[in-house]
Amino acid sequence: VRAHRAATVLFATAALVGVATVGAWASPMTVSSGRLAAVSLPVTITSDSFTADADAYTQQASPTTNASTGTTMDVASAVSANKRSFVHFDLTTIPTDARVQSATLQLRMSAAPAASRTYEVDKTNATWDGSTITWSNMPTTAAATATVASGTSSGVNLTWDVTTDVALFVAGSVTNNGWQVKDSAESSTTATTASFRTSEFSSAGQRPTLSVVYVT
Amino acid sequence: VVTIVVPASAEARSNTASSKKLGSGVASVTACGDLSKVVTDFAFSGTKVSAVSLTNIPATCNGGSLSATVARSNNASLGAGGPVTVAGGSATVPISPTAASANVASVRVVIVGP
Repeated sequence: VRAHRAATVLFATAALVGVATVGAWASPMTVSSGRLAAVSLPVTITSDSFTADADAYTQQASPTTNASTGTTMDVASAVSANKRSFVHFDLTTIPTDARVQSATLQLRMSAAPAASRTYEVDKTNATWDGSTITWSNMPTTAAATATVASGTSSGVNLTWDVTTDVALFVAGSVTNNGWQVKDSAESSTTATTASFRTSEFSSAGQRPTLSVVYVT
Repeated sequence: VVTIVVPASAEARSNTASSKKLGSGVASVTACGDLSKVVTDFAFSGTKVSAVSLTNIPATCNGGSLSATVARSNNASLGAGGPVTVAGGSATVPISPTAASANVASVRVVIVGP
């Protein structure tokens, strides 16, 4: 006796071994009752890398100055002179029903702080324009999504796991307003600054990058 | 007489006895539930799939032994794992060998029991 199941017959047959044998049975035989469920689920796993469509940094000491055209953006902790960076990525090419498996924000730290600092990324709560954002008009943010220790080596990539945020962005549960990057302990009495490459930097490999793996 | 009860989606297209000594018995094979709504997620080791996480498995399959195979578009196996026990409507199956994610086109799931 041969049972056919169009898409699953091969592995269904294999799975039945030990429970019941689907195929030609020879006598004598012992067949026990069993339960079997089988399915073949189509999936597509996509890995995409996005470059920032907007980035800038703001400066507490120059609260109305926009800094969005240079090849670096700063994160600083200093009394009355903190600096925060902002990045945004257009994720609209990801299907809204995609299931995000991982998302990693990568920034190239071209100049490291003298002592290791903790840098955090926070979802911004409102839209911002890279060409106009300043300390005075920058949006508020959610609590930190992820943190990373900066280390003191320049010319290295720092990465943050932003999977949860990107999943919310893609699903439309939260508006994608990008992230703020800041020192987790601002207003340090010993000023510390790190510089990161921006999307204006000549080498594409050092620009802000968001790597996303998703399933459809 | 040999009788096989297969899931509703299965069909018996032929009955061919390959032995002159066909025994008698009854194998009743039924499905624990409809797996078409099972949700697949993956864990990665670099760019390779190292585990498959399955959720939304019907509660009636809890306690069953689940095996999973990740396959190419031509159904060739890239890696497999299990069996693991379904609990709480979910199961995570480590895949060996790890499979290049770009090549994965389907996940085949088999639950035996409960």
